Amino acid sequence: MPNTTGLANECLGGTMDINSVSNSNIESETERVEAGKKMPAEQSLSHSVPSYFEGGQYDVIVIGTGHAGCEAAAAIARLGASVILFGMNLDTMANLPCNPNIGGTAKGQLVREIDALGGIMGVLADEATIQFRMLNSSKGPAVQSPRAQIDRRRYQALVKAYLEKIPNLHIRQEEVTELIVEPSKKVVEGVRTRLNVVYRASKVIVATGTYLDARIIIGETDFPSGPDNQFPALDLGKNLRSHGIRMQRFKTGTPVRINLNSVNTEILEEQPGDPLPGTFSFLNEDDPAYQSKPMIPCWLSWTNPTTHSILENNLSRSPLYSGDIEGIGPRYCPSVEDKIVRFPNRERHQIFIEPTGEDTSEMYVQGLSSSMPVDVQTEVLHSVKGLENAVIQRMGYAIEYDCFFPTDLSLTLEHHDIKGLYGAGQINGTSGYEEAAAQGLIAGVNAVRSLRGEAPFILDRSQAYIGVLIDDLVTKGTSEPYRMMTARAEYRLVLRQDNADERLTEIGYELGLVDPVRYHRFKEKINAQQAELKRVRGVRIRPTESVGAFLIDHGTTPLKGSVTLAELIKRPQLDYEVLAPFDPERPELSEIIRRNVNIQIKYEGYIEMEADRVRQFKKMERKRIPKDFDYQTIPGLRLEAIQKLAAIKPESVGQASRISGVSPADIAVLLVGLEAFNRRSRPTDSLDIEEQISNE
Amino acid sequence: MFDAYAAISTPPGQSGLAVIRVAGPDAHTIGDRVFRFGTMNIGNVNEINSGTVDRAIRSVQNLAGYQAAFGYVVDPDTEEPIDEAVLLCFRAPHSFTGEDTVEISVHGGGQVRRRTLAACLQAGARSAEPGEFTKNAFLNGKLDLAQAEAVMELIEADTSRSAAVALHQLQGGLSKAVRSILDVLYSIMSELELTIEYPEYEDSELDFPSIKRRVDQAKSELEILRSGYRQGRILRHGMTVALVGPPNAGKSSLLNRLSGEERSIVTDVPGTTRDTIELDIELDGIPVRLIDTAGLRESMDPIERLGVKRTKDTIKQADLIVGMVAPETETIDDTRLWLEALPQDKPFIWVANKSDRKEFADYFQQLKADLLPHLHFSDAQMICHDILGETYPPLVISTRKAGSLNLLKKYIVALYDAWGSPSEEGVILTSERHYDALVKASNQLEFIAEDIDGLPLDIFAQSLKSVAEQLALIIGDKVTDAVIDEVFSRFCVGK
Repeated sequence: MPNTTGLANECLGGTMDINSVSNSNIESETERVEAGKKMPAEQSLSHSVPSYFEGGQYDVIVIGTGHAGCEAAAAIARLGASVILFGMNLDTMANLPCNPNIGGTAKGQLVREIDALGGIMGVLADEATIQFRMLNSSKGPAVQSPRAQIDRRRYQALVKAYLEKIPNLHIRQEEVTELIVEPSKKVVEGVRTRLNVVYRASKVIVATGTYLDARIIIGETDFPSGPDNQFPALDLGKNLRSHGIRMQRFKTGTPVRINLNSVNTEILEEQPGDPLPGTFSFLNEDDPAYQSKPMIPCWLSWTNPTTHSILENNLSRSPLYSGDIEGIGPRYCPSVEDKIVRFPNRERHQIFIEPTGEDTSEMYVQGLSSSMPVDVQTEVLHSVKGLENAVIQRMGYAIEYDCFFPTDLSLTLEHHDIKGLYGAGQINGTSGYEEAAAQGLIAGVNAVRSLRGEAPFILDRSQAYIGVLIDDLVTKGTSEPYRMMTARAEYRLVLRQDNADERLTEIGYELGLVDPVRYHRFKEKINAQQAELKRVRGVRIRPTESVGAFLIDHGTTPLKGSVTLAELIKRPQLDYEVLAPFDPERPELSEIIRRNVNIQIKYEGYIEMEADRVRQFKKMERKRIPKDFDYQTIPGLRLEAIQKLAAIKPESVGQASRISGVSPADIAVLLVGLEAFNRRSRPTDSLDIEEQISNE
Repeated sequence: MFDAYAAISTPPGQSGLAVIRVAGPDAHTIGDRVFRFGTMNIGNVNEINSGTVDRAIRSVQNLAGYQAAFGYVVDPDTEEPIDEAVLLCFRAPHSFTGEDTVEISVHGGGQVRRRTLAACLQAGARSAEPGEFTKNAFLNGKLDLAQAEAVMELIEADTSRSAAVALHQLQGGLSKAVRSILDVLYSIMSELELTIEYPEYEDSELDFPSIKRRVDQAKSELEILRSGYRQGRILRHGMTVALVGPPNAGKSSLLNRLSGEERSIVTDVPGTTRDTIELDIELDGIPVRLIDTAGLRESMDPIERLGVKRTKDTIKQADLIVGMVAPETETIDDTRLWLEALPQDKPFIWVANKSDRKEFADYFQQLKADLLPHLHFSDAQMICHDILGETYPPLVISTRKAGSLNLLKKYIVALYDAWGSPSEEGVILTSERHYDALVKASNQLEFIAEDIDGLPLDIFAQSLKSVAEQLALIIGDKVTDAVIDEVFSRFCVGK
């Protein structure tokens, strides 16, 4: 009976409550089934049909086909494990229900990192790009971020087709309604769906986005709904709570969509993309095919005093202010009514009108996110220059949903209380497609590694934005939907979008996520880059007359003696490219490599300083705290610190030091306590914690 | 940035020797930055000892574990010698904490040990946390398990004590002052982050001249705060008073009289006090450290010249100078010479000693007639006199007569009161760790202000963040959260 495979393996008949589906309760289940009379009332209608079907055994179950779920499933299958991916509607896989773009500040870095680890978001976004910009291209490499407008229907189709080709990856349209947990040990055993099928796996990743108990609010109207008028998941949330999982309620919103044919673009400012579009994926770097694709522009407009008056006069009808919305919304994503209230003195707010695809005229109106009633939203829209006659295709709305407290998760994204349960994406309190995809990747990899008894895969804050994201979430928690920002990264100078592959592809290869073809290409690029760096540091430039004239011409001082080419590149007025005339030996190299060489030479000193800080940081990260360590046993540790540490369950002393309410003095006491603990466990030697780890 | 921490390891108070300990991976590098091998270089005296050592090849890095070296401590920036010293080198794991360590033994004077510690901090070490040596000794397996709990108690005790101090400071002006500088930095940082995070918004254009102005503002506020460290030092360690004057003017007698005990050898042979002698006394409950100097008389005797050099150092470190003259000790012209050479920015009390002698009356007349009209004391020098508004200098005393020193004591106490109680804007900084953080922040900000025009935005933002993080240590602020909050409360951005 346990571990049956194949669909619709009929059970013995009769009905049972969810716990009885658990493998470990099979015997009592049989008894109950025979007794027959203990049938719960709500299931009495199904007395003539089997209580459930066996849907089969998988290594991992993923709930949700959004960006987290798709990325998780792809990673799991790539590692050779079997996975079933559940979606309520397969036509909305990898949907972009809000902004029609991928990337942007900090988020672009995340996509580059996902790509460097062999993920799918970057490479597929490149295929669906209809406009590309490298943001902050003039502000220094550490804050540059790629962003692409995406043809959303095409992106969805691409993701679906891509996943369908992966062996071991099963996609299934079915609503998961229950999580099956072995009650005594609190271990995940599988899920049960609306169609009464039980699927078994010891790892389940919940990637349900904004669907749990979701409610859409537009003015005085509200109704249960997922994003984009999809069905909400009303049962799963209740079921998760019944397992003792804490939930919080967040809110987010989206603006109206309009028909471009009704927009007066002649009086609007056009915002084109970069003339030479770049790509997210390393695999598409320097591929001229991507640079010659036709691009679709965005349009700029502004709110005005009329817009503001309309909103002010109707504030009482906003659910935000009438108290109808209880969820906490993100500060970085304010609705237009919120902007008017919080910044009453501003004369105008910027509006971006963005294309959503090549085959549609539907435009996303960034800046008019609103939960106002239909008539107010319409009036507001028509008050904006160029949008006087705009035809609305979809209303803006606010959406409320349930999500986890991310502090209940570990750095692998596994739930502290229920073994085998992972969260990824908006369920963990984040916002954004990129944040979701990044978590999906990490949860997927860790589910498989845990299944195989391998060490967890954790990126730290000095390795990747992904590391910053997850460490922030599980260590500090979040009181609003969490958005990645470059300001959140301490080591921004080393976590650049241009070196994502250098930071992570080797790691991805070792994990088994990066295929040999990509790895080989990566090695070629890195070797060429290293060779060029070495060469540039060796080439000497003599103080000739022409060099002197050139330097003065570029606003810098002539040479006194000969210097290396690298030293000249470091001068603020110069760079790798302009010095080409004095570097006859220069090899033919791709633009990306030339750019990277330039950055690495120019920023050498700063990068070295940051590397120093990273070394300091790593020391504390390497001091591990044993699982389920009893903080009560440390004399002198303050009660508040004990409570916080016991709740968050940090994995290293470094992580512990980032918990709010844990002071540097607590950390000093903790270090001593840990060492005492280690010596008690092994009384004969006196190795320090660090050595002990390397010995393990 | 170096990875090493330092502290004075011998207990405070009068002692013959003091040990400054520096531990951590870069301890030997710090050692090389503050320690010079061989005899101290004092003007011509150097020639006497020239050619004895080749200093270039001597380095702490090259010392073996447990090897000692004779030499002297210098200010790492100016190379100015501080004191003769013996440096003992330890190599990991064979040291108290199990890390690379140097222990520098210097003469026990409070001034010398503090300056030696200051030199180590200047060289890049940070000041040790409470209980840090012991804690690391334990973590590195140098103490046994039985000592573990004692160590924790030590940390707790030290922490609660410094917490009490910190609380005291936070209620006072320090937190307000640091907060105000941080607010300036946060405002700049939030603008930088806005243009980074939301490059396509009209708000995100940077007002660079205004940013430069505010960087300068933060820089000067930081400097003011930093100078407040003197007040805190006085509160903690008491006031340092240097006794200066020609040999035989009675400086040692004054010191003895004030302390009520025979400390230094008082004879009638000029120049007897060959070294600076320190004494901690209490005047009306105020801790006062008196330092008797060798006088400022130029001499051909190398040993005495060493004394003169020390006197000059003492004057530099002192909070107050008591200059003493007496009949038949030197010519009026000589007196004028050293009086005029005293630092203009340091409080000064001028006393004329030996009023019980019969030649005093004539001498005093002569001072008033021939010397006073030519002397120009600054306001800073005359602060004691200003506070009390009493007799114009010099004060007339006799170290042989009881009661004759009352006015002098009153002057010293008045100065302490004036400094020790914070004014409205005045901020008292007592913690060396706070001072450490302020110095680092202030130095970094100075670099930023210098390079501001050439810094790329990402580097500029990162450098400001590291300044803010130093300051945030003092008041326990979280920089990242503060800046992000500021971005969203000040600017209207987002979809």
